[in-house]
Amino acid sequence: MVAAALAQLPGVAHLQAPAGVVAKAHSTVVADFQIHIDSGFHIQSNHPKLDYIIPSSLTLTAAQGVSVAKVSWPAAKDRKFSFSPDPLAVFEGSFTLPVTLKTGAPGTVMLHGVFRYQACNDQLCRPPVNQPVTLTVQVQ
Amino acid sequence: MPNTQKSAVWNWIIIGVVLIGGLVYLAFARRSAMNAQPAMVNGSPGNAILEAGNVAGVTAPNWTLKDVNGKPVSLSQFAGKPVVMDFWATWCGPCQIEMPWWKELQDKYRAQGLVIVGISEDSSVNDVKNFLAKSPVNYQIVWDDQSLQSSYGTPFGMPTTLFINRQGKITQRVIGLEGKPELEKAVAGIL
Repeated sequence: MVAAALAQLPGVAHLQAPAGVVAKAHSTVVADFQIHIDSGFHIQSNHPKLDYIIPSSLTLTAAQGVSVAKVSWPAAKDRKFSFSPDPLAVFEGSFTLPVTLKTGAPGTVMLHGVFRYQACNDQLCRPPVNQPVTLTVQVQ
Repeated sequence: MPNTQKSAVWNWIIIGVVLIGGLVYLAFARRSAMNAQPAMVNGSPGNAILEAGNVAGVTAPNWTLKDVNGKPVSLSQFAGKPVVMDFWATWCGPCQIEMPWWKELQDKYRAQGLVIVGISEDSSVNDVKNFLAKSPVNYQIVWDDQSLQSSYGTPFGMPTTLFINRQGKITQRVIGLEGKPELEKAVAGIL
């Protein structure tokens, strides 16, 4: 698959983790990730309407008692493209992706994960991209 | 002729020249766009077929890939025939618009030797199998096992299409969804 090499090309969607999250032990905290999609491109919804479409996702592996309780994707936009007879559910532009975390015992925890997306514009599609993500949580 | 009339005539001549020049520029710009250089975007110039600027006249490197049943297929087995190499993927909406057109063109020009090869960039051959079970095609489909990278490079996106004439030379590279008339015109150019 050329897809593996294609994934190394500069992405058209960019996820930025919050600089640092501080939370109380044994509680919940919301970490706001920022996603920016280059102009002219869209990425697929986390719940696409068609089965062949690759959904956007953010996964973070639990570590030292910190785990993901909920990823709150915004509502996708229904957009019609020249290649789609019916509207597709997509994300465009910039938006915040709130992620609710459950915490455990005090300590500094680094979570690792992946932002997976597949982008298209009106004429072509880029291959799926797995962007590595890290998030530091200070549990007090 | 009074000076004011002379001036008006010259103005119209200049406007005409500018308009004609603009149309010529647009025609060339359109042609260049058909052979757009993805290296501008991905920053890796190189000589690979899918990344180099102008590929017209370049001999298409041979490849051997497998179809969805594991049977080897080589470009060399189509020597002397016009070949379309269409890079696509099951998750690519624009590619799926072109597929019925490729089916029509394969039927229409089969007697003239046209060979259309769809090169899947999916990560799993099973995805391709499942897709073809629901949406069969009448042309050759192979699965890219990454071996094309060394000679063809990496397409910026799908669909990307190469048109190869009977002498094995690439005549045109099209990046992204094109209209059926444009694709048929490119096919006619290699028959």
